[in-house]
Amino acid sequence: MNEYFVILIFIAWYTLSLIVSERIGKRRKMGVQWSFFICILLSPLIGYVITYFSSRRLNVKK
Amino acid sequence: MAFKWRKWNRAVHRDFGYLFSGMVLIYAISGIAINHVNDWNPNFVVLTEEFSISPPPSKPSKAELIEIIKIIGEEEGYKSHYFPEDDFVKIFIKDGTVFINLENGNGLVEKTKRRPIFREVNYLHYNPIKYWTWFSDIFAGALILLSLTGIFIPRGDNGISVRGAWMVTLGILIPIIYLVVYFY
Repeated sequence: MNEYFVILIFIAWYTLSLIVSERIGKRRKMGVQWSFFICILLSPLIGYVITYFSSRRLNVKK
Repeated sequence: MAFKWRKWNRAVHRDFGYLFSGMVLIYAISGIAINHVNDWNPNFVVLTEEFSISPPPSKPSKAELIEIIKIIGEEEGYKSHYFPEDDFVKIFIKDGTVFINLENGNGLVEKTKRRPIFREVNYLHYNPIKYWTWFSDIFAGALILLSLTGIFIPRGDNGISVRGAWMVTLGILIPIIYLVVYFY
């Protein structure tokens, strides 16, 4: 595993966590912050699954 | 839906600002410490204390030297000694050195103590291990990103088109002036 690979993983990890939390997390009861926290901690993929299947928030501002 | 680049710009700036705030402090503190390395030792505090003894009649033995350094309470810390000159002895003790002029009996004890915080941040600043270099490279990239994203956060009169423009220009001019004066 070289440095470029680690840097690429870091960028992808953060970017995907941000997208999942801002796009999906904000429409869920858990909200942007919890979704982002789970994505960063457990990986964006696991975070996406947990966020996606969590309960939806009603009356979300677009 | 239009791409709201300002929203993502703000998010990246905010998150990287939070994530790397500790790194900024580490590099800033050690940067100041290293800038003034000619004025002080950022890693150690050097404590000196003068003392005097009655000059010994002949070259002291190891046991006699241990007796002598009892005066300064360092008999437990004795390690070794040698005579750089006939009338001068250097005694190595734990975390320091004792110098004694055997002719006039004047002595000096010099002890070093680790300087907390500075020693740790300097260690990190010098990229001690490969994996730290990786992380500090990420940090360096994040600083570039923080600088670029930060420029576009304020809007209106405080934005890059007015106040930001001349502040950024000033920030670029200062290093250029230094280069023109001292480098070229």
